[in-house]
Amino acid sequence: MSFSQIVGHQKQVEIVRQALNHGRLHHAYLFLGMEGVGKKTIALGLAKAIHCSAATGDFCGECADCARIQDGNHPDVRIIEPLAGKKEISIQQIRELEKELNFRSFSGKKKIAILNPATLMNLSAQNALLKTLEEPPRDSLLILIAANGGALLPTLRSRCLRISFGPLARDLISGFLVSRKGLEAETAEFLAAMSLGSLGAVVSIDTQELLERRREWVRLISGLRAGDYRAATDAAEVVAGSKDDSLRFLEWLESWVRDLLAYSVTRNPQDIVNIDMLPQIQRQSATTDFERLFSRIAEAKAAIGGIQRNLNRRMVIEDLLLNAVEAS
Amino acid sequence: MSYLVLARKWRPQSFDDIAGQEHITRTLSNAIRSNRIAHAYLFTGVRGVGKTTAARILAKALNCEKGPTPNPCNQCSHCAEITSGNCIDVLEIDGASNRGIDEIRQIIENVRYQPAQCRFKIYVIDEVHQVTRDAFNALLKTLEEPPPSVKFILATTEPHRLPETILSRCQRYDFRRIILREIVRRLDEISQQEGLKITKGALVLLAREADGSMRDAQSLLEQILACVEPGSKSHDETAVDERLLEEILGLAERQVLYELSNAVIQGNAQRCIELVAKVVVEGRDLGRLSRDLVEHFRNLLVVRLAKANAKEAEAFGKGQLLDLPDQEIEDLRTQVADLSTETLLDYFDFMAAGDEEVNRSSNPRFPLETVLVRLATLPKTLPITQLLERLEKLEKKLPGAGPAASASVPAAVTQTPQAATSAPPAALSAAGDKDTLWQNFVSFIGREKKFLASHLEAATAHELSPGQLKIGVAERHHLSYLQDPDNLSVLKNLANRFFGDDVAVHITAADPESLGRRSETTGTGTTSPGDEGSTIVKEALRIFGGSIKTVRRENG
Repeated sequence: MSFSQIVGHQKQVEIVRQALNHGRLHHAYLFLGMEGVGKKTIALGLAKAIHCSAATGDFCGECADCARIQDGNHPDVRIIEPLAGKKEISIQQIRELEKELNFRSFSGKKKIAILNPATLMNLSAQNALLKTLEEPPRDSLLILIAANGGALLPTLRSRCLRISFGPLARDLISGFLVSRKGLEAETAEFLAAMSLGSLGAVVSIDTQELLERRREWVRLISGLRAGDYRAATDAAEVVAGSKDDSLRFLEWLESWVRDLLAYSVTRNPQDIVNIDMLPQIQRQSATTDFERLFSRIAEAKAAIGGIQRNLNRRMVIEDLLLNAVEAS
Repeated sequence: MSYLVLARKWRPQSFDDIAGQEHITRTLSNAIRSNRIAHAYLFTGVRGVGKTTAARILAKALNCEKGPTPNPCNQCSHCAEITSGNCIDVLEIDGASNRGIDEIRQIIENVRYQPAQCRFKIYVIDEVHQVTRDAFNALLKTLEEPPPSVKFILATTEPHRLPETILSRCQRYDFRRIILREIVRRLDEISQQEGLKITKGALVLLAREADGSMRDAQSLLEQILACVEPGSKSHDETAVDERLLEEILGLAERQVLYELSNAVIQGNAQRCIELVAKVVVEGRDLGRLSRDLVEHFRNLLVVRLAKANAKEAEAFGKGQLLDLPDQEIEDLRTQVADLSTETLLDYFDFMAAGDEEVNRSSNPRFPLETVLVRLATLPKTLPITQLLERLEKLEKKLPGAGPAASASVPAAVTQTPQAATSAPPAALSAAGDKDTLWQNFVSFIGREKKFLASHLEAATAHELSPGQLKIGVAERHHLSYLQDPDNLSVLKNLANRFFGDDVAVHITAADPESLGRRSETTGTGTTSPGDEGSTIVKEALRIFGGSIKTVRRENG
């Protein structure tokens, strides 16, 4: 593995490599971008490239250093994640990190800390990191990984060099799935559309199960008629399983409504996410209006928020679906 | 020496170098010159505007071997030590990591000792908002009256998190956000020193991206430097321009911003979705784009408002309202030409709300698309004055809307309270009109027995002459209430008082149709208080508590 094998993000990789080659690496990077687009891969890649004993300006992925970085036990590369059983990165961990950064590096090269994800630092932890981020001990490099910069202190963000990672293009993902995972072109195509640009979201997914599930969802949604409260509550019972299941359903619902919106605006199937359901989308988008779709999207969002806050899942989804049958 | 990032390398080393904070640097310099140095300072302001830098310069200014001076020499051993951060008398403490009471006690303990070599012992506590409440309280006495050789400098981005008691013990300096032009000037200096060729436009873009923070600006410049190594062959001849910059930073181009806002203004939702798709394919930062759009609509709004107000147009020149180059303001003007303030306000509102969604969502594309489609399909809002104008025009076109028809009624109704507040018997002689008299009577009862009046309001007077009061009631429940002997006697008493005479009160049932017919015959042209229309009006007045201004009648 080397930089050239990273899927997409050529520009971002180039920025990092240029800085590395010119000896102008910043001491703190903030990698921003949605889940599963390769932020951590690139962060690890940079760490390997600094320490790799086989290649210069790149990494081999096979030497002892690279392997240890990959496994998370290189003495100079620390990957900081919430401790087992914890939901946050604590101030304690940050203090330890600061202490470690003050030691000389083991190999004589840079000491690297990867905070993954930095957004899980609680406020005191973020504050504690500020001074270190501003003027870290020499030869240290911090890489903060975050899906959402809004969750970080502005003072923290300002101390880092921000690099944004966009969603991956569809053909990149389908290409990857075909060439490295050996999937069939059609399945890969469909998964790429579903992934919304996140390779991580589909790379290890059970395609059969996903298809099955979605067919069920579409059936439920399409089966809802105005005034049919019974069908709505029944449907809610089906989809409100575990927290993850509910969230997946709601996220899918959001993408579905968005597809309806996009299709009724553009009449162009090119950007549709649920590409395999095109006929249904065409049919439904013909009979709906924008206002209703806007409120559907808002409701779905509110429901996602509710479930993330641990409201009663069944209630939240029932409320959503009942609203839908009432208004339609 | 290992590589230092620009923000550290170019950290200002004297008060004059600090950009955009003259109000602070001048005050501090004068304080030092006139030997009026406080023992505790508090520096506040957003990220990257010079708080820590100012604290260090102040420390140097106080401890420089050449006496407390506003212009530290930066050469003596003290200055050099402070710059490199290993002066034993200038202690820079990370308030966020050393936030407990134990750490603060240590400071208090050490405050008693004289400085080792410098004039003053200076404690710089950065990120002081993270210090715990107990620790703050432990510091209070020391902060109030430290030994003469000790100075405190506290720095924070969040002064509201400090206790009042700390705030009141410090001299507080609020650092401003640095204006665009200042940042551009400084970046220009740095890039020249670093040997980077960069166009003015690109610098403006960088500075705008930094959003008032010098450190952000320098970090971004750093990124450019890392990509375009000065002196290397590939980029030697060409200067960095906006295009290259946008590419390196992954910014959505200004171009896209204008295209998107144009699509919104033209109501072209399809184009919006296509443009978002394009931006996504290019891997640009959607959160950034949405924030830029908010700012763009805000700028459009400001341009629109300023057009109406010459004074604000003047403020443009000074860059107070729009921190933008003139060319761009001109572009905004053309874009805003056909839009009303209300429409722009809507755009701004919705976009701001949408931006929140975009930046909170793990998949920012959908909310962005949604808000743009919503904006594009938004009906154009008309200013309310314009609507009123139209309404008035429409009214004038209507036949039979003569002003004469409206005159009598309001006079009758508005007069009522005044007439009735004077002595009740006078009402009889003053009001010749039967209906007016009835009105007065009802409102009189309203003041005495509210409930009774509410029943009478639905009734009409059939006959109203001295000694005789015949009341017609259409609805059954009013009728039965009024015919109740108790109520009737109350009514009678009140009538006696009102008319100043013995009055015989008769309650009769009147069928609604006859009422309606009566109003037709008696009330032609005017809405007389007796008819049904006026009952509704009165009811409305009662409920909403208003008064009648004008009355117009359609089709006679």
